[in-house]
Amino acid sequence: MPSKHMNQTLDNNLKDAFLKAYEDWNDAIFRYCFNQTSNREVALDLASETFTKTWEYLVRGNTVEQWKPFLYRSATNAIIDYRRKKKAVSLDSMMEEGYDHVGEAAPMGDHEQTFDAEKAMKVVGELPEKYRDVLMLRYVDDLSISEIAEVTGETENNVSVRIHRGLEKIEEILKPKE
Amino acid sequence: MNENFKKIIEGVKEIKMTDQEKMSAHVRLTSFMESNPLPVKNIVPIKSPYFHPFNFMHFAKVAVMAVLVLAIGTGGLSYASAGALPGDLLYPIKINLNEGLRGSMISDARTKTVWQAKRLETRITEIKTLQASGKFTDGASEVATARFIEHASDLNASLAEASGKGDKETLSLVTERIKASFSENTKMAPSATETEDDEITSLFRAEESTIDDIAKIDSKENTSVTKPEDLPQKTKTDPIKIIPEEHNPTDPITPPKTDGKPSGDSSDTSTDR
Repeated sequence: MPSKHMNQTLDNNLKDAFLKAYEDWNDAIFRYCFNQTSNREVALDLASETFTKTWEYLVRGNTVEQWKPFLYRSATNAIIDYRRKKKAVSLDSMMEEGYDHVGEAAPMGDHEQTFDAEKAMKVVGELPEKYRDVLMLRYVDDLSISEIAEVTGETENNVSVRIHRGLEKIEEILKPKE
Repeated sequence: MNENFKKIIEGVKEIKMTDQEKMSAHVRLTSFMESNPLPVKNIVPIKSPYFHPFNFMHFAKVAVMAVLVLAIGTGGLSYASAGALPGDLLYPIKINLNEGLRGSMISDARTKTVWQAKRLETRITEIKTLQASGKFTDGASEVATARFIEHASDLNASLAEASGKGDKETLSLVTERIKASFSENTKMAPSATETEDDEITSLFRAEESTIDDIAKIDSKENTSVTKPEDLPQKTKTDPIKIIPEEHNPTDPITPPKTDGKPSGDSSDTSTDR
């Protein structure tokens, strides 16, 4: 078999693998970005940036062993870069971008009956960032503890503790205020 | 897990890209991929299928393959020639390759002697097989006879050496084996011609006789051992009498005397013994 044909076959295999990973995880990465930013447009851009940066990584001659944790890590880095740029964003700016901050005395009675995405995001939005991140990764994106640790750069023990405390916080938020 | 929390999670999972958003994103991505194709260094370098002096791995692979082909080919040829008879095309391979290699790998003298005996047995079998099948033609008989003589000579030399070393066991074993082989094989070949049979019988008997001689020499040397002190003593005062006393060479016409002493004999013909 001529080597040139083999080269093309290798290229096609790599390209096909990347496009398959895109099809499999595009929605999940978008959702992850949206959960972190609460802004649809920003989330679309960050998701797109995640995959373009991954393709650039391959173009540089690198290989990806496991797509899922790699893509989430890449998305996390994109989110961190975005947050750094928006470091000084005030609450007012956040409301303009589509994030509704719910006050600490928000009535939760309705939440017990129906939850749509917007309402869910409002509740999630009340969580401290470090709890929200791990809870979303664990229960929405179905990442394992070790994968979350790899994505966030934290130890598995820290991840487990934050998940536990995040669940406690969710219960506090959802607890009916008397 | 809290049911409300589950509902929250389900609500969050509903967040998805719309079809239009997906299409737009896909177009942007593929455009980006085309603008940034995989570089050349990701491509496996083209290796020459031909030998390159600096391509050691390629040369090593070729060498290994060549050895394998040679080994398999040689082994196949060796196997095929195992049953060859004198006059066959593969017979030289059987003699030179199969037997030659085997013999060259034997360093022990005793083992080699036994192996030479087996080889000679094979020559005997080949001759009788040719005779029985009526293939003992001039060409085949010459080859078979020449090989028999050659290998018999090798065996005889080894037996003589074994005899010199006092290796009775090897001598006895080989001698009995070869003689049994001779006697067994002479009963075969009913279709052989009388002339051929005579020639072959003579050939076998000559070798049998040679082996017997070697064995006899060995037996004599080993059974007539005499101690030096048992040998008859020869002293200066005991001259050896070689001339009978009744005979006087200086007087041929004088008849011998009955007392044993010659008459008129001035020469000293002492009869003391």
